[in-house]
Amino acid sequence: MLNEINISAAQFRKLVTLYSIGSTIIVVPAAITADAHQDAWIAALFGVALGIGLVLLFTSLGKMFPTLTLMEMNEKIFGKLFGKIVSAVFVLSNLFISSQVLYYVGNFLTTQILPYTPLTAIHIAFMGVVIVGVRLGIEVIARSAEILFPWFVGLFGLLILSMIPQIKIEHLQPVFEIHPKAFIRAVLTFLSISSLTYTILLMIFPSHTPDTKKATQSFYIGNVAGGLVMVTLILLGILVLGPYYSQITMFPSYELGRRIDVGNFLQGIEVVIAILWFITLFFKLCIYFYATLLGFANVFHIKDYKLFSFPVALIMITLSLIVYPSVSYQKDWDTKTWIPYSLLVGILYPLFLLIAGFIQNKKRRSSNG
Amino acid sequence: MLGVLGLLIVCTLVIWFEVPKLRHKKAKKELWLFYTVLAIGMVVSICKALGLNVPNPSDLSAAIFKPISIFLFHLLS
Repeated sequence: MLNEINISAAQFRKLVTLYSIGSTIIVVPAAITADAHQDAWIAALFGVALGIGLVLLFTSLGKMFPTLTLMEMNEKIFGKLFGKIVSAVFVLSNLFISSQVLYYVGNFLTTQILPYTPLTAIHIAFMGVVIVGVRLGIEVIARSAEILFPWFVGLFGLLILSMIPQIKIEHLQPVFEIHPKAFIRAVLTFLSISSLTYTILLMIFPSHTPDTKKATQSFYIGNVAGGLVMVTLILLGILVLGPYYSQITMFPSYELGRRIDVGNFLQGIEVVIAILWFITLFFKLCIYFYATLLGFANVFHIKDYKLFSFPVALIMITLSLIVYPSVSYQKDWDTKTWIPYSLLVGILYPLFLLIAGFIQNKKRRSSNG
Repeated sequence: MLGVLGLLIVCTLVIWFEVPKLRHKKAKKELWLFYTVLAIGMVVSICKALGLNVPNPSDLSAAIFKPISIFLFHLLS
């Protein structure tokens, strides 16, 4: 650990919740409904349950190395040189993924709210806030998560309550009509963007949260809470918009906000609801950016990760204009490349670390007598 | 052209903001690394601003994961 950073368990819980909702709220509802139609919510629920198993994997890894970040785990398990290579690859792919998250922000805003603003301007503005956040440190980000969380809950509650009158239960029928293979595909879509991205949280989880036992609980609760928010949104999308409309709109959850109409009076507040997106995407991007910078600093053994925030942000903004040339490319890449990638990084890689660490620990214990 | 000018201004500002502290601390390794990362960033972003073709990293990862993804989606469809 480079310097004393202290995130309380409650802050970590909120951070996990917001992180797991992150870009899921933008990408998943349409994609999962396209695979599983009216049963998408069952697939999402299944995904949340599997997510708990994944959290078990990450927390047991955290328990094994309670003071190390992911990069230091790499060096300990793979050895110095090979560990550095693994870390460098991880940091580089993190950089690309964070520019993809930045693209989601810009894409959402230019499609729905600011159609005449160039993508670059939005990316620079949003990234500016993230740079400020990351330069102030992960503690400040965690505390702002604590402040913004009630707003998130309130807006989400408002969205649900104002949607209840428009629910049509017929949209859900017939239940369990889905083919098992399509069901697995839908579950994978959900998992790949929510729970399988928790590997990045290992940059924060054991080393910056001194109370590991409580933080472990927070990890579980945060995962379930974030997952249930997503299930509710997907379910609401199907119940109100119907499975067909829900899969052809790009952002069904934004479409929900647009349909709010309470007594012909409370309407047109979709931009207020969009604050939900900004809050979650901000924290997702902050954590990705922080992990990239800290990983980079760890690889080169540099104490001050903040030093690189401007140059790396410059690369990121440029990449965010390149990584997805078009929306159809994004949809294709998100299913065909992202799912295998996230399975590799989200399951196989931590599982390998866990097994290797277990064997190393056993060897050390037996050699010590 | 305007974009390149803007990028150069940003670059100067970043150097003016970060480098004096490093000079003061005589942190040579950090300084070199900082300049390297900044140079990469400037090259990539100026290429983009001039409308040159910058290779897309997503294409690379798509090519790497293509065999696995074909196998996976063959199983699931």
